[in-house]
Amino acid sequence: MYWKYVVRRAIYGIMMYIVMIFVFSTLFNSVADSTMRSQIDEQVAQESLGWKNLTPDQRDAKLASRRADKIRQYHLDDPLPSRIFFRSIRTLTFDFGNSTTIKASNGDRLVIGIIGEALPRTIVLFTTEVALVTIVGVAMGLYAGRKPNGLLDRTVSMLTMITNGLPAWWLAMLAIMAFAYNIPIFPSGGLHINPAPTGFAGILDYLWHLSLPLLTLFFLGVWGTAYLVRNIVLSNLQEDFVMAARARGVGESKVLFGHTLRTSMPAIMTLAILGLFSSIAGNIIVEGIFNWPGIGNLYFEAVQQNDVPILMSTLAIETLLTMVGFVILDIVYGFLDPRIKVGGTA
Amino acid sequence: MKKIRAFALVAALATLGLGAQVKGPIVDKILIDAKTSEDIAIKDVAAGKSDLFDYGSSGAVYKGLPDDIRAKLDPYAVTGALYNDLYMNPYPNKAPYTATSKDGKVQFNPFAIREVRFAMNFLINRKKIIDEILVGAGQPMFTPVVPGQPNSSKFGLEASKLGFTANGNEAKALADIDAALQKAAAADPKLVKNGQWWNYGGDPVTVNFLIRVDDPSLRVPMGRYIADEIEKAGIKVNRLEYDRAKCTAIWYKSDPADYQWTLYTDAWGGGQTYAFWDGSIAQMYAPWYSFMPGGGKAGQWQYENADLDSLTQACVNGRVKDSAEYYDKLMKATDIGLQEALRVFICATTSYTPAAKDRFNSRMLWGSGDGINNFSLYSADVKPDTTGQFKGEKVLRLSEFSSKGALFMSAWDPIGPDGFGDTYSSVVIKNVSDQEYMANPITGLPFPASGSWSNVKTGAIDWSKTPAVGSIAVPASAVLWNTKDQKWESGINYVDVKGDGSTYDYVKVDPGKNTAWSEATYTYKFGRWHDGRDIDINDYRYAMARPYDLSYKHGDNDKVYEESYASAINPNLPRVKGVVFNKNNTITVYGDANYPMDQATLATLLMPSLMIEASNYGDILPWTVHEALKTMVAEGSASKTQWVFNSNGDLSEVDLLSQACTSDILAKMQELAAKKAVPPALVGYLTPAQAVSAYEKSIAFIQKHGHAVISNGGFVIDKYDSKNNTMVLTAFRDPRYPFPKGWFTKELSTTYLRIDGIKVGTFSKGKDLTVSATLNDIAFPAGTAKATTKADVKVIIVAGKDIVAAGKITKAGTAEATFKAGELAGLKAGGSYTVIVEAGSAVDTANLIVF
Repeated sequence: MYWKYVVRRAIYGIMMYIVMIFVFSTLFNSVADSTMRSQIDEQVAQESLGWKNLTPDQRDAKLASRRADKIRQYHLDDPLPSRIFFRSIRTLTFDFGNSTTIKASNGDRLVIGIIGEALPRTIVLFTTEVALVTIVGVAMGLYAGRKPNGLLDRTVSMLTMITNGLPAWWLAMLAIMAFAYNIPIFPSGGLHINPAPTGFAGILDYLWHLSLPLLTLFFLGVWGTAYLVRNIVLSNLQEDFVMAARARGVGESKVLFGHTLRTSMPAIMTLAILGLFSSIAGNIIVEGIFNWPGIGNLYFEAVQQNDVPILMSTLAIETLLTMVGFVILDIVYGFLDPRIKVGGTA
Repeated sequence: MKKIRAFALVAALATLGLGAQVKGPIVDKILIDAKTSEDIAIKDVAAGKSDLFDYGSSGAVYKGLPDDIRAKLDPYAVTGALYNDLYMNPYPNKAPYTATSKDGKVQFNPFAIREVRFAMNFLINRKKIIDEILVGAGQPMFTPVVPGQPNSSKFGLEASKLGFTANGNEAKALADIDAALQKAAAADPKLVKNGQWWNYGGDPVTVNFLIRVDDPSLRVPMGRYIADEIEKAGIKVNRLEYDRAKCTAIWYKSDPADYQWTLYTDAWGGGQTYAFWDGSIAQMYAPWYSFMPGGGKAGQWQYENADLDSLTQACVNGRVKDSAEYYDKLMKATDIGLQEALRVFICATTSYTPAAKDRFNSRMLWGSGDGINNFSLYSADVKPDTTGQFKGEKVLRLSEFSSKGALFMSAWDPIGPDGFGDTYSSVVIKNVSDQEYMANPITGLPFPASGSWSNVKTGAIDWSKTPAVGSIAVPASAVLWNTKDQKWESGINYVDVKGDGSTYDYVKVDPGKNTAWSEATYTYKFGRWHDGRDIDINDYRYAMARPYDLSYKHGDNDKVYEESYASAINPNLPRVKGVVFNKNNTITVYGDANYPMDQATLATLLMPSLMIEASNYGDILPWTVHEALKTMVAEGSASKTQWVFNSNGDLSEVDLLSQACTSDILAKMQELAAKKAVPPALVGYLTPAQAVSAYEKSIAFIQKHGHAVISNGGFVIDKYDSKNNTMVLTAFRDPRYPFPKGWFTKELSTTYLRIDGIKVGTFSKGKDLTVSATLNDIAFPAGTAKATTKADVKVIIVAGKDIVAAGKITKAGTAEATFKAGELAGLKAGGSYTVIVEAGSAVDTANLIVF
C-alpha cells in the first residue's frame, strides 16, 4: 500500500533526524568543551592586563571569579553527558533556548529570534535564486535539448563550463568590481543604504541591494541547471515512446512538454526540491562578499564564537528541511511518473 | 559709571564671542555600517562609498592592493597593534633538563637550559622575518615594549646592551647552543652528539613546536623558519601546525611538566598607547602575573622567579619612592626577563587603516598604539556633502569589519564586566561618553579633559606595614558612602578584611587617626547630559556611591549586589579613604595610591568619575538610567523579562541599545518618576521635584531616540538600526558641552623627532670614527617631515664600558658625533658593536664592525 510506504518513509526520516541531532550534540558539546575552557582562560588573561594595583592574592581571586563567571555563562559547569542529552532533547522539541553570545537585532538572545532574522534574508536571496534558476534553467534546457548543437545548446554548454569551473566568490567579486565600482549601478553590498529609508522607498532600496547578489547567483546557477535538464531531455528524446509519439504525428510542443518533460520530471524535481531546501543554508562566502547577513553568516559566526545553541539549531533546522525534502520527493515521484510505484505492489 | 559701561560692553562682547563658539566635534554626523568582507570594504573607501574603514589590514593585504586603489587611500599605519614572540617551556628549568611525558618517555628539553633559550635571540634573524614575511610591514622587537611607543627606547637599550640586533648572529647562536649542550652532556652521559644531531638515550633530541596554522601569513612561515634554524643546532623539531583551539589547549592548559609542547608561536594585541610599561614587563616575564608556564594554576609545575616577582610587583603597585627607583627596578626586571628568555620577542607588525584621501580636509588624530580611536572621530574633518539628505553637512561614513555583519558583538551593559567589551562598542561609546581625563594618543600620559586636578600630594608611606600606611591626615569631614546604612558617613574605611581579596567590609576608624598615602582636589567642567539636563556635583556624588551598592553583599537575598561587578571593582574601592565635597563644587579625595613616576597618573588613580562600570570601556550614564536599571534588575521589569548584569546562559543581559531592554528601562523610569523617587545617595541633596524633572528629560530622550544611551560626549546616538546594522551619530552642539570644535586637534597636535637613518661608516683601529644620523621633525597628525635644526644628540657605542660622544646638528636634518681614535682603542678588531643614537626622545641603533 502506498500510504504505508509514506508512513514508513516518514518514520524512517524522523528516526534518522533524532540520531543526527544526538550526533551533532555530542560533537559540538565535546569539542566546544575543551575549546571553550581554553578560550575562557585566554580571554580572562587578556582582560586581566587592564587590572592595576592588585596584590597577587587579589589578582588570583579576581582571575578565579572571572573564570567562574564565564564557565557558568557557557554552562561548562554542567556535566558533559547532561549537556549532550538535554541539548538534544531541547533541540528535538524545538526549544532552542538562548544563544551563548550572539544576539538578535532587538538584543534578545532567543535562538529562534536570531534564526528568524537571518532566515528570511537567506530565503529572499537564495531560495528566490533557486526558484528562478529552476524555472529559467528548465526552459532553457528543454529548448537546448530539442536542438542539439544549436546556438542555445552551445551557449549553455560553454557557459556551464565557465561558471562551474570558476569559484563563485571570484565571479561575485568580478560582478562587484564591474557593477559597483566600474559601472556603479548597484551597491557593493548590504541590505540598505545608511540611514535606511522607510516605506516604499525602503522596499525599492532593498530590491536595489538584492539585485546584484541575486543576478550574480542566477548567472552562476542557471547554466548548470539548463545543461543538466538538456542532457535529461536529450536522453528522453531518444526513447521509443517519444519516437512513437512523433511517428503518430504528435506535435513537437506536445512531445516536448507532454511526453519528454513529464518523463524527465522526477530528475528535475529532485534537483529543484533539494535545491530549494538546501538554499536555506545560505552560502557563507557569497553572503560575506555581498555583506548579506543570512544563515550562512550566522553559522560562520556561531562557529567562531562556539555558540553551540545556534550551531545546533541552524543545523537541526537545515537537517529537518532536507529530510522533509527527501520524504516529499519520495512521495511525489509516484505522481510524476506513472512508471514509478515506489513501495507499491506489482 | 563709565567703567561699569565698559565692563558691560566687554562682558557682552565676550558672551557673544562665546556664544558664537561652536561646540562639539568637527563633523556633523557619523554614519556607521558593518562590512563582512575586508576586500570590498577597502574598495568601497577607494571608490568614495565610505570614508573610513576602521580595521587595520596587514601589510600583505594593503601592499597587495592595485596601485590605482592605493592611490585613493590615506592609510593610518600603526606598528605594534599586534606583536609576536617565541614562548618556551622551560621545564624543569634545571639540570638534568629532562621531562617525562604522559606516556612515560623521558625526553631531554634543550630549552630548559637558559643559555639555549637566550641564544634564540641571536639565532632568529628578525629582519629577515620582517622583510620576507611581513613584506616590510613591521619592526623588530626585543622586549615586551612595543618599538616606537613612548619610553620604548629605554627598554631597547637594555636589549642593545646584550648585543641583540635585528639581523641576529647565527654563528654565535649555534656556538652558544652547542656549548650549552656540550656542558649538559658532560653531566649527563645519555646526551651525546651523533653526527649532526643531538641524541638522548639513543633517540634524537626532539622538541614539539606549536605553530598556529590559522595565521598563514605570519606565524606559519615564521614558525617554519625558526624550526629550520633550530635544526641547524642539531635539535629535531616536530612541527605541530595546529589551530588556535588546539594550540591553546596544549600550551595554555597543559601542565608544563607533561612536556606536551616546547615552543609556541605566541602573539599579542598592543591595544593602546602606553607611557609606562610595568604591566607589560610583569605580564610577559613575571610568574605572579599568571602568564608564565604554569600560569599560577594549582597542581601544575610553575616557573618561579622571586626577583622578577618582587621587582615587578613594586613597580605595578607603586611601591617605589620615586621615578628613579621605579626605572631601576623595571630595568632590572627587564634584564632578568631577557636573560631568562622564556619569551623571545620577534616583531611588531604594522597594520593599515584606510581612509579616503580625497574626502578629508586634514588627517585625523590617531593613537600610536591603537590607531583609529575616539580622538580620530573627534578630529575627523571631511568635505561637506554636496547632494542628498545631508547636503551641506560634514558627514563621516565609517565602516566596521564584522564577520557576522553585526555592528556590536557585546551587550551595552554598563555594569557587567563583559558589557561594551568588543572593539567597536568601545570605539563608539568613547565618542558618546567623555571621560574626565583622557590619555594622550602619542605620549600615553593622561591629560585633563572635562576634569582637572590640583594640590596632588603624596606623603611619606610606611611600606613595612601591611597594608602600607600613609601619612596624610584624612579630615574628619571626609566621607564615604556607607551602603549598609545607606548614608554618607565619616570615620569609616572600606577594607579588604583578610587581605586576600575574599571579603570586603566597612570598619570604623578614629577620625583623627585616619591617614592616606595621597590626596588631590578635582575641578570639573560639568557640561550637559544628552537629554538636556545640566551635569552637576550630584551626578558625581551618585557615581561615587553606586559602586559600593553593587559591590557590598548585604546578605543572601541582596538583589542589588552584583557578583561579577564586585569581583572587578572591590579591589579598587579600599583605595579611597575619604572624600570631601567642597563648597565650590570641587572634590578632594584622600586615598592609598602612589605613582611617583607621574603626578597626573597618580591624580587619575583617585579621580572621581561619572563612569561607574568596572572594566574601563568608557561608558558614562546619568543616575536616572542607573536607577532604572538597578530597580529593573532587582525588582523585575514591566515585560517580566528577568534582566541581569553580566552575560548569563539563561537570563537576559541588560543592553541599553536593545528595544526590549529600552522599553523596560523606560517603564521603570516612568514608575520612578511617578513615585518621585530620589536615589538614596542623593537624599538631602536633590528634591523630589528635581528628581522627577531629571526622569522626565531622560524619558523624553528615550522616547525620541529609541535607546537608553544617554551620555555626555561629543556625539549623540541619534538612531540605531539594529535590523540593518547601522548607526547614526550626531554632533552634540550644546553650548554647555566643554569642548569647542577642533579643541582636540589643537590640544593634541604636536611635533616629535624621528631618526630616519644612521650612517656608521667603516672603522679601522687607530682612526677617528664619525657617526651621522638623519633627523626629522614629524608633525602629528599631519605626518609631514621637516629636517631637524635643533636637538640634543648623543651617540653611544656599547662595549664593556659604554663609549659616549655628544653629537651636534651639522646641517638641517643631519647630526654628527665623532669619537677620537684613543677613545676607541679598547675595541677589538673583527668585533661587532652596537651603536645607539639618542636624539631627544628618539632612539635608534646600528652596527659597528671594527676592521
